[in-house]
Amino acid sequence: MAFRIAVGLWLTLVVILSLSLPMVARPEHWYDLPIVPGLEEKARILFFHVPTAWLSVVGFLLSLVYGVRYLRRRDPEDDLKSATSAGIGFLFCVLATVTGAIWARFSWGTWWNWDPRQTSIFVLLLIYGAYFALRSAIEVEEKRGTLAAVYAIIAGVTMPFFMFIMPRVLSSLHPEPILNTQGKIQMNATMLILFLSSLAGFTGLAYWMWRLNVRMEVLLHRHHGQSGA
Amino acid sequence: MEFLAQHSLYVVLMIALVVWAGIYGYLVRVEGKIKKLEDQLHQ
Repeated sequence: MAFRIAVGLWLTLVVILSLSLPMVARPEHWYDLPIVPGLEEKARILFFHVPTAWLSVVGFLLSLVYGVRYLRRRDPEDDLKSATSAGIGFLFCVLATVTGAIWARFSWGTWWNWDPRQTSIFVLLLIYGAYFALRSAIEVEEKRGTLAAVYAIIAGVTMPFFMFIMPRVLSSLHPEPILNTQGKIQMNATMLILFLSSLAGFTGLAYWMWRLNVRMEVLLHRHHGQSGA
Repeated sequence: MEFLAQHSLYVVLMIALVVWAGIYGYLVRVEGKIKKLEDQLHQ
């Protein structure tokens, strides 16, 4: 109860501050955010887009971890947690793609142009889309758990390649490499605190969603067990 | 209307807050339903 109220208030504050604090060339007050050259007001997407991308990575890695645990312990709850983690990762991956496309529309003039970042996230969505197709195609619980766990491990191992390596090896229009020679958005303290607060708030939200999903899946699993389905 | 046209960021802020309120309300509702089912199962 206290957790969900904290997440609610925290993220409401983050949303309000992210979209209302002024962006100025030379920040003088504590509430001023610096203008990011080349991005200007569009830099505010940073407070939403990066946390969603971060949580997709966390979700996919958790899916791998619980996949390994399932193969070692054969506890059905680990399988449910692995699937739920992949689901949360997939959801935030879709959100990262959508927020990225919205930003691209106003920065590049087009929603989609098969930039290496967009291509790699699209491939990642296909990989995890296939994971859910695999799960739904197998009815025998133990077989489904084993195959899904193996797939989650393989997909989790390839994920860093698509998320971190491929977009950096190929030349991309994604802001990170083109902003300046350091390839970093130069934040002041206010912007950094707000950014980290957003990361924390979104992580709390994702954890809440993950817990709800696991509790629901456990209930469904027990129900199926009782009805013999 | 002119104020909103000149300060489109506030329009984005309002839309973001409405979307967030919707997501939050939905999650609270789902949690309530799950709790109810868990209680029924444990009785």
